[in-house]
Amino acid sequence: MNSVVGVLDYGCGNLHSVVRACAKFSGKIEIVEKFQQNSDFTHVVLPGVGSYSNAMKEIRNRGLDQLIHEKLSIGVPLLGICVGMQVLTTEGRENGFSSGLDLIGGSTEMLSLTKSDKSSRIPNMGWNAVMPETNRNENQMFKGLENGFDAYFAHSFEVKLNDRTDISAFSEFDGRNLVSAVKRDHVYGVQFHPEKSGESGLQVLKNFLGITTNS
Amino acid sequence: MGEQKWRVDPEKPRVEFTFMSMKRLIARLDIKGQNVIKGVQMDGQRIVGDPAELASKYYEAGIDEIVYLDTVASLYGRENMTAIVEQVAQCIFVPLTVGGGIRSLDDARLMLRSGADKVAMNSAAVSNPRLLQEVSSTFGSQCAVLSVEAKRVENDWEVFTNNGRDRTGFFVGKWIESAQELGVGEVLITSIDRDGTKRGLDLSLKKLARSSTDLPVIGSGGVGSVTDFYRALHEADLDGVCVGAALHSGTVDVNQIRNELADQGIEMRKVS
Repeated sequence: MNSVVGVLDYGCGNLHSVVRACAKFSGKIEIVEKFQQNSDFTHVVLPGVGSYSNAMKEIRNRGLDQLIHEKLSIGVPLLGICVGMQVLTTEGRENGFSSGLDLIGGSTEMLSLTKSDKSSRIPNMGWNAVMPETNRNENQMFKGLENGFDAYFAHSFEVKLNDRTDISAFSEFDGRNLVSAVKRDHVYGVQFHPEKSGESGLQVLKNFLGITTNS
Repeated sequence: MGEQKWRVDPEKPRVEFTFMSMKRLIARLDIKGQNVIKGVQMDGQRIVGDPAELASKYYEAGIDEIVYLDTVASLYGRENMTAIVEQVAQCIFVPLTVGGGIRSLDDARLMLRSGADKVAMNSAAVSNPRLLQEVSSTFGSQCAVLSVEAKRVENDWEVFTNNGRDRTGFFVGKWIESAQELGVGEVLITSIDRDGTKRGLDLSLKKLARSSTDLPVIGSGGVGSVTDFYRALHEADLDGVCVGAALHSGTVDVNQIRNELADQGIEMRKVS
């Protein structure tokens, strides 16, 4: 496929593993450190580790928010990974409040444990089953994957969305549902790390890179 | 919808339907120079193979995670490690933890840029606990791992550095508690006396680590059989177990461990 993938670098991600994983399916990958005009990306990936507020600060300082808005306006699909998915929401609540990209209505909040059996831990680190919402308008992200495929998670925050129809997959945490993937128009997000989730994760990336602009 | 998580096999009905986090099978590769080595009790090391080849082999076999520990951890070792991490990260798509010689925020950044997902800190954290805080606040708790190498000293467990050579005066329980306050996201606990022996993990040390923190705890040192995994994951309630010597020698293999543990009711990742 003739995709050109822009992987956004805001200084705190381990973006190289994302780049290497995307390189399996795309011949052209560019690491983007600041806003640039006339880029010809067919797909944009926003990786992430670290904190919401730091990520947003760097994204804004580098003008990457502008790039994201510009690309989305011409129908280029965007994939946010982990913190990259969290910053798609309206606001982050960690030591106060920071505003996000607001591409998907909702907030990002600290995980909390309510069960006393300590079956889950914070950070939520390790493999967990992902259950895609199958009734959503032909979500291409999970094509070819079984319901309940396992993916690797490493996070302490979770997203709470205003509109349930923006949720594209759930996982289980502390005996309840955790939003593990989101989708609104051509904005996609996954809480897990597809670049670290073995062959299933690679399939998710392959699926994303197979989504064509404006579809 | 939660029920879809459970593999339904009419031959082997699951008794429990309570939620359990999946346990992790982790390959531990001790590095010296260009090679993966393995010693007994961190001593008498012999060459096992090539880091990238072994990592690929275990990845293909379905390992959940890989830990690299540089046993030399000199300046040379660090540069060497960067090259190895870069090479390994090309071919594996599961999490990679790198430890040994991480002395500063810049060392941590270098390893993460090279392809590591987490950095494990032992010696430098003991001499400068603030490093744990710096790494976790800069890169997030999920990538700061406290590596604890311990030996039994009288009736307690003391933390050692330098491949088990130097005493620190720190004790395991208190040290893990402080590290959690400093923001680490995971604890890797190794029994020096069991390292490389395949005699089983020291459960009293693992239980001590478990009771000292709510963080994920990974056990290492002494795995020789599937029973050792079971006891560490079930009896000591660890979140993952590292295996080195027994995997290298073929005493156990990844699939066999995964399947046998799943049969015994331990929640494991499904690898197709």
